[in-house]
Amino acid sequence: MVRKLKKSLSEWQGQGFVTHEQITNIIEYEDSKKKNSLILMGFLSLGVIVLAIGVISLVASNWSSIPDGIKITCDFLVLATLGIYIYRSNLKGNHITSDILITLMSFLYFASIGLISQIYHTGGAFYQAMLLWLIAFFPLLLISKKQIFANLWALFSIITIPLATFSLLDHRTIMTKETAIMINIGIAIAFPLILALLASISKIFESDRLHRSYTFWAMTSGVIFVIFHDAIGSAKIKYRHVLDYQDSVLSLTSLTFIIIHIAFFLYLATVVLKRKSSFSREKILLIILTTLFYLMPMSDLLFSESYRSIYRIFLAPVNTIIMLTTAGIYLLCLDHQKMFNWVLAFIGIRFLIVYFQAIGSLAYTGFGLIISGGVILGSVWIWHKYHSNITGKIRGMIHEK
Amino acid sequence: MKNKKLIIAILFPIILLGLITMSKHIKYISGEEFIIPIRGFDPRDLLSGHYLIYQIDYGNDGCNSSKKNDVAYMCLQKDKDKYDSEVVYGRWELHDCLAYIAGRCKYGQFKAGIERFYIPQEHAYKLDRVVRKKKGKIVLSITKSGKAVVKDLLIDDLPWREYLENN
Repeated sequence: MVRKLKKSLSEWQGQGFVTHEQITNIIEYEDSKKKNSLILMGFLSLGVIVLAIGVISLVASNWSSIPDGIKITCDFLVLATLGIYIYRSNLKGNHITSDILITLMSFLYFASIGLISQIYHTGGAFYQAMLLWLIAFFPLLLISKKQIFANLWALFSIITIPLATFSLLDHRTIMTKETAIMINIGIAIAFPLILALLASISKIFESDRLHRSYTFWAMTSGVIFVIFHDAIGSAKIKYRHVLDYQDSVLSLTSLTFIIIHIAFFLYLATVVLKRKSSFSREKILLIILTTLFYLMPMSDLLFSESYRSIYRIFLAPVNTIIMLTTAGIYLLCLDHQKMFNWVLAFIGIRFLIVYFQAIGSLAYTGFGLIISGGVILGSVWIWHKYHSNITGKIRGMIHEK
Repeated sequence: MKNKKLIIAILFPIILLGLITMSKHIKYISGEEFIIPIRGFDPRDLLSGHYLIYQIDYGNDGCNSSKKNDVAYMCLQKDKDKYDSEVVYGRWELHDCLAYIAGRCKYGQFKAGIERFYIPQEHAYKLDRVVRKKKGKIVLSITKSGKAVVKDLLIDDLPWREYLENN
């Protein structure tokens, strides 16, 4: 870090922004600050770790002899102590500390659920513990001011969805195995839409942190699904031979697709009905993106057997590139630069695959390889030279009033 | 107002956990005690982590094998020094029962969430061996509403800790 600072300082000196004396003072100050804090933090961390290991070892070795009442009392005391420190941190305005303490308390909560389960010899599915955790910490989620805990809560809620739906496979009196499988497939396909719906609902309830988290996961899962869908189509594997319940699943009115329809239309409703309901270009872009995503699982149904190969070779890659491009533009608007770069890389790879498919066996000749290499290098050069202009113009177009 | 919201948000998970603990403890102390033999469910997998998993030997034929996950009740009736029991599927059949346990019939077996007992790892294998020899019994606390909680594990009619001290 100091090395980077030194490099920047020497550049600034070259530009005449700072004098040599100022640079010397800055570096001396940074060096002394870092040394002190590193040594202090090092010893502090060592002390805390050694203490924690000692306490855990003592407790663990005597666990069975500690009366249950004492275990539960200590557990609640620890939770209450953390609660007090969370309260004090909030009053002092230390929101990062507060968020860290809330996160710590939430992990200890899982341990508490385990302790109660152990004392009373009870069991239960893991998703039930997750649901309890989500409900218990929802008020603290609304109170927390930083992104740390919101990310954790969103992630756990996302994990709970598939866990809860898989458990349906056990409830044979409520539904048959086939029905449970159709529901699971529907939720798996509609997963990005469900996350987008949760993001939208969070926005309605003015929880920006939760909205940001769900949006990130919706985009990530959406991109993964698009790539997966394209890979399946390009490999000429038909869905109907991968799934056991092919005929019942692959119909627009099957339970699988009803779930997809519900997720999509609910999401659309939340986007349209948001309080500040001006139809911004960003909103239109989002609607286009989710509509394309919604239509994608139905592509295998919309084309008859004879046209399916045409779809796979031409329309599927076009669909993927359009979807990823739309997603990339939306990510630019959200300033998710890293994700945008990844999506761009996937678009580039998809273009390359199309290109190699188009030139066919020519790709294996020297001439073909030279042209291919030239295309790749040329594309990279163009992007490197003009990417600021391009991304700036895109942002401008979307945010233009 | 803001402080009140903060206090409520902090207390909510603690109170929720407290209520759950209290409800389990109330079942534990207020229910009627029953001692029922246990046997290993699967001789190869008697232990699951730190839990002893077993089948309760109610002394009857169990559930109808066609029931996949149906609500059922284990009706307990005392017959001299042991319990007679049968599985029934409707609450209207419970009036003659001394006590009953609410559960489910899963593929011919009655399950009520009381088929596991936490044991410390260091005693796991010793207890596993004695339970396989059919020396184990479980002490249940059963409330009037059919909720059952495991209170203790008996080996040769002694609490498991006492048994391990003497053997």
